[in-house]
Amino acid sequence: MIYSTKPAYKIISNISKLSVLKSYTPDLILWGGAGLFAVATFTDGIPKFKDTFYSKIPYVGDHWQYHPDPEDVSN
Amino acid sequence: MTSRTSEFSFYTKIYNSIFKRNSTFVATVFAGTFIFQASFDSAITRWYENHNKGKLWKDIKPAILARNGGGDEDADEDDDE
Repeated sequence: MIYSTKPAYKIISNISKLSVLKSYTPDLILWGGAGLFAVATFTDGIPKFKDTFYSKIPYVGDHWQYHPDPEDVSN
Repeated sequence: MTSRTSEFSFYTKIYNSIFKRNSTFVATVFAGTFIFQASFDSAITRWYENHNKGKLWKDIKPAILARNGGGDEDADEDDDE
């Protein structure tokens, strides 16, 4: 294990908004994925989300589908 | 020695792919939570239904309907009278 004794500063030769955005892109994508999983975690029980997204997941989507006997449903 | 090296490389792979970046760590935690809560719910429901087999509505419904002679037909006759 190599320990660092000081912050690892990087010198960017050409400071433009595009190059900064480019350097952050992989991290932003990963944080976006993390955010999507966070949203999925907390909306797991909401019917609109269940019907729109989770019930359509291949193989395991059946977990979010509700199949009552039509006789037992009122109206 | 070989097994130790491969073990080390396994943990290194885990470290590099999950723990090194906070974004991948947080994503793994939430992905794990989402998968776990669905699978836990599924497993508990399966256990509960298996444990209470014969007492659930889906199990006793045919017997009750047969005993009541078809259910709704009688009720309709009562309403007409």
